[in-house]
Amino acid sequence: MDTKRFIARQVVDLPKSGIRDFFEIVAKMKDVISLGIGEPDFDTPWHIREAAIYALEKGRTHYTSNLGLIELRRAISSYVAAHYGPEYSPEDEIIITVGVSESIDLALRALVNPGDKVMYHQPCYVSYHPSVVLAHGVGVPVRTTAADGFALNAEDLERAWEPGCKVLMINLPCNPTGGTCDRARLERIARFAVEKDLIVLSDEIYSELVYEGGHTSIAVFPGMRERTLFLHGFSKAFAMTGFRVAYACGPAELVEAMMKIHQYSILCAPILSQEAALEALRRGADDVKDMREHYLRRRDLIVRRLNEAGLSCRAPGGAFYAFPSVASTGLDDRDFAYGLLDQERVAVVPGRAFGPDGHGFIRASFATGYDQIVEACDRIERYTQKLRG
Amino acid sequence: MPECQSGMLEALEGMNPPEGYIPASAPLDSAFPWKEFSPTLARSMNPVLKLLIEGGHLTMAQMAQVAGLSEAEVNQNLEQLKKDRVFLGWRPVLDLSREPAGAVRAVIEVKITPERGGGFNRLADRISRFDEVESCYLMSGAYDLLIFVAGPSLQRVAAFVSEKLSTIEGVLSTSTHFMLRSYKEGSFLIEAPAEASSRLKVSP
Repeated sequence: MDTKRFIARQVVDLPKSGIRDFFEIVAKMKDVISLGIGEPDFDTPWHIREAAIYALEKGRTHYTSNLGLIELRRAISSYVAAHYGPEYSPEDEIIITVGVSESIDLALRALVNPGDKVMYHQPCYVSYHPSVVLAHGVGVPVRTTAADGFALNAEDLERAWEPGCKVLMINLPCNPTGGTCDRARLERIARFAVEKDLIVLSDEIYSELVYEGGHTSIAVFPGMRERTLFLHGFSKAFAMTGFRVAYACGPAELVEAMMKIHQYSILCAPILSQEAALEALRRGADDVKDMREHYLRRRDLIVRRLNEAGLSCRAPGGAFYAFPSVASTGLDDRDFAYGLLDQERVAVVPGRAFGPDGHGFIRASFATGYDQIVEACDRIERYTQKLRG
Repeated sequence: MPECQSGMLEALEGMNPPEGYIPASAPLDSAFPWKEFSPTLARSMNPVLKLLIEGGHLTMAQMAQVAGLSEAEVNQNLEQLKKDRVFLGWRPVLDLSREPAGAVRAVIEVKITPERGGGFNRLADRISRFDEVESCYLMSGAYDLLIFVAGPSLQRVAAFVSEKLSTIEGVLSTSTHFMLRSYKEGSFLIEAPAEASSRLKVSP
C-alpha cells in the first residue's frame, strides 16, 4: 500500500532540514571535531540539575497549570522587567512552553489565517520558514548581509513588505549569523511594525550572549508592548537545552490564544524542567556571566583564526556562531563544508541550511572547548591553504 | 551558639560582605546583579592567571592562542606571576588510593599560643617547614591552625604528630583526623571519569 499518499500536502512539500543530511554523514565518521553544534558545550550548572533531582525526590511529578508554575512565571516576570524593561503579569501574560520552538509554533498557529504573510529575516534559524508553512502562512524573507553585520534594517523590511503581511519574526542576536541590532535601528524597525500594523514575534533566546553594546528588546519602544510576543528561554544562557523549557510574554489576549493550543497539544511543560528553570533564575546569574566571558574569548579566538585562514569573518555581536564567507576559496559553502569534513575531519554547517541567503557562508559554532577550537582552526587553515594551491 | 560559630562571627565582625553577595533572605529581584547587560567584560586580570584559575588543561601554545598572545608573552606573564609569588608552582592532582604505595593523609587541628609581636606567624611558619605538612592555614573558630599532612604509613604520620608537632613549645593541643576516602580532589571528582560528550555532532 502506498502509505505516503496519506501524508498532508504541506508536510510532503516541506523540504528536509539541510542540517539533517549533514548530520547523517558526520554521525558515521570518527575523530571529527565539530563546530556544527548549536548548543552550549557547558553542562547545565550543577545547582540547577540538583534542583531538578530534588524536585523528583520530593515527588514533584504532576501536571502544572497549563500556563506553567506560578512561582516560575513570577520569577520570569521579575527577570524580564529587570533585564529588558517591559512588565508582564505572571497571572495571564506569561506562558511556559517546551522550548522557544514551541512558543513560535503556538504563536504562528494562534495568529496566522491561511494565506497570511509572515516576514522574517534571512539567513535564519532552520525552523522559521517551516513553522510558517505548517501554520498555513506564507513566508516573506528579508535579506540581511555580511557587509552590514547581518543586522536587520527597516529599509529592507519596507522593500520586502507586501499587502497581507501580518507578522514579523525577528531573532536578535541571530542564529546562524550572530547579527544584532543597535537601539536606533531597532527603533526604526519598531516604527515600521507600528506603521504596518504587524505583530512581532521577538525570539531573544541569545540575548544574554551579547558581547558589545548591550541588548535592547523591541518590546520597549512606543506602541510595541501591545504588539510584541517576547519569546525567551533557558537553553542558551543557562546551558539547559535538553530541559526544553522556555516562555512567551505578551498581551493577555495573545497569551490566552496560545494557551488554547498549548493546553490541547502539550498540556504543560515538564514540571522538572520548570523547577530547574526556577533555580536558574534564582541563583544562576553568575553562571551566565562566566559562560558569556568564555564565549567572548572564544569568539575573539575563532574570528582571528578564521580571518588568518583567509575566510572573511566579522566578529558576531552576539550568540556563539561565526558566519564567515568562503568565497575567497572559490568553493561554494556546500562543497567547502563537505571537503573540509572529508579531508580534515572538521564539521561546519553550510550556510544554505539557513536559507538561500546563506549561500557562500558557513556556520562555525564556538560553543566548544578552546583546545578543540584551536585544533579545528589549524585544520581549516591547512585546508584553505591547499585550496589556494 | 556553638563555639566554632561564635569564633567565626568574631573573625568576620566589621567585614563588609563580598561584592555581589546576596543574602538568602533577599527578595528575588536582587538576585540579578546585572541590571543592564554589561557591554564590555572585565579583562583586567592577567590573562594567563585567568586561564590557570580556570584549569583548562591547556598547553603553552594553546594558552597563547586563547589569550591572543605569543608564547613568549605567555612565558613573560608566568614569570611575572612567579615573581609576584602569585604562581607558586605546578603540582599534579593525584588519586593515590589507586596506588599500592599510596600515602596516608590526615588533617590536624592545632591550638597554639600566640606570641607578642608575631601572633601565630612564627609557629605557623615553623610547623609549615616540615616535609610532612602539605598545607597549613590559620583558622577562625575553635582551633588556630589546620594542617594537612601526608606520610607513607599511619605510623609515620602518628609519629610526626606525637614526636614533632605536639612537642613544639607553644603547641597547646592537637586533634588528628585520618582521611579514609577521597571523593573530590583539586576540583576533580574521583569516581566520575569524564564522560564522552553526549551532544549531537551537528545540531541546529
